[in-house]
Amino acid sequence: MNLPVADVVVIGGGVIGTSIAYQLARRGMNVALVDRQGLAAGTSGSAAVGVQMQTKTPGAKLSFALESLAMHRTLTDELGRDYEFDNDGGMIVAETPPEEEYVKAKVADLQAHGLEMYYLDRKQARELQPALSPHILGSAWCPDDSVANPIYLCLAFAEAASRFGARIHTYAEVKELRIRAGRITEVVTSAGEIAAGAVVNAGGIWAPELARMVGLDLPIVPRRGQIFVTEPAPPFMRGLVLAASYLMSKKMPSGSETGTGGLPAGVVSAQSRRGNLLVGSTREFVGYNWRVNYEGLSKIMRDTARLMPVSQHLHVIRTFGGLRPAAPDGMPILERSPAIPNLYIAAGHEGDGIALSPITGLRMAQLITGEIGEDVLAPFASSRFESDVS
Amino acid sequence: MADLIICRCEEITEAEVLEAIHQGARNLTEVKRRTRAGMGLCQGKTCQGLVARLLARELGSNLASIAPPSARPPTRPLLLAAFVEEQPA
Repeated sequence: MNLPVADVVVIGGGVIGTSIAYQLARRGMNVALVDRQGLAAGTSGSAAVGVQMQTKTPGAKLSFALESLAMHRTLTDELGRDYEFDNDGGMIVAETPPEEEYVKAKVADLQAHGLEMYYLDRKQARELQPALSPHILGSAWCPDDSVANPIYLCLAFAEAASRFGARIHTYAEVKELRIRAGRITEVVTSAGEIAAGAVVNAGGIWAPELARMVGLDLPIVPRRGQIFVTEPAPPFMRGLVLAASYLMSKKMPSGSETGTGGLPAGVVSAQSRRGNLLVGSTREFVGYNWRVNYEGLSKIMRDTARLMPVSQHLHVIRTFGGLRPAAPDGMPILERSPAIPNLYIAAGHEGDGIALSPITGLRMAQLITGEIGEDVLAPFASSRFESDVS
Repeated sequence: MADLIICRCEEITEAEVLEAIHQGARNLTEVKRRTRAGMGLCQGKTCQGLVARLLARELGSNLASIAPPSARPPTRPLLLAAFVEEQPA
């Protein structure tokens, strides 16, 4: 039997896998993308809207994010689909003196690393964002922060990849990665086999499961974020509003007490083009559990109402839980597998996948075609975890 | 009847739902992701059955085999203020 053949089989139909498939296909590679569900069925279909710069740690991640933002700015035209990318800026709002200190330090740090950042006092912050409560102390302002619709971005990548000849197989669950002489030769799926020149594991929260099929460990775990959506309202917000408490809760292990009490959570909010207010999120490590609960949702609802009192007049219409693929240091793993030379890994973007998907697709495609060396992605290699395991 | 409105909240037409199915949507959640049908104020209470029938017809499957989307709160729109009043003591 003649198997269908692909230069590269990309596993994973989220924003990362579709972005890689697009970049490979436009380089003339013969690409097949497989996913066990539909497109954007996992993390990309239950994400928040932020394409944030000021939340990135200075260094490799911030540089990568800025390169990605530059791509986002022209990607709508390039892909031929409006994925609701809007560059309207973003705020990190301080409500307590420790938060104010934290935000001021963050602004200074990011300024020192070249990001355009401002610290606004209460008056300035409320002039820019009139919906903010009078009790706030101040805010960071990052003009580069942006929003996008993750589902449309994923579909846009997939459609563009198809136009360049990529074959997209949904409802094709990977059952086996067949290895001969140390290389993957075939990807066996529930919908048939594909002979593969190279394979990309872009499985997100399921990337460890795929890695285990070839005896490898990937230190990625799901981190749940609960989100709520309100009815559409006329525009009352500009760009993104984050509570400083959300970022400060990142530093806390799951289950520990934050300043405002309860589980690690905080407000990350924006209005969609339709006018829906979308607010996340909790930060919970609860395995592959997508459910929402009253404790998590009511906490971010109370925080939202306190931060932007006008939101209390909106009706909540929908809630959902999303799982983010989290690596131990909050950075994605992007590499050629040190163990299997024709296996590539692009996973673990946690909450940064929407922001980082354009540059991830470009760099992974360049790595696979040999346009760049592995040194370019060295900060994202899994070897960075090795000193911890010894 | 291509311009027949299927989802009143988001103003999604039959043609748009059919296009999503022809592009690969196999269930209610996928149609919702691609078109927004069912994402509006009523959260699919009106259109879910209509979309399910279009899916069954286009996919040549039994209506009963079209699984309902995962149910999540709230069942009906709820004022955000309702959550604020219930402060822990």
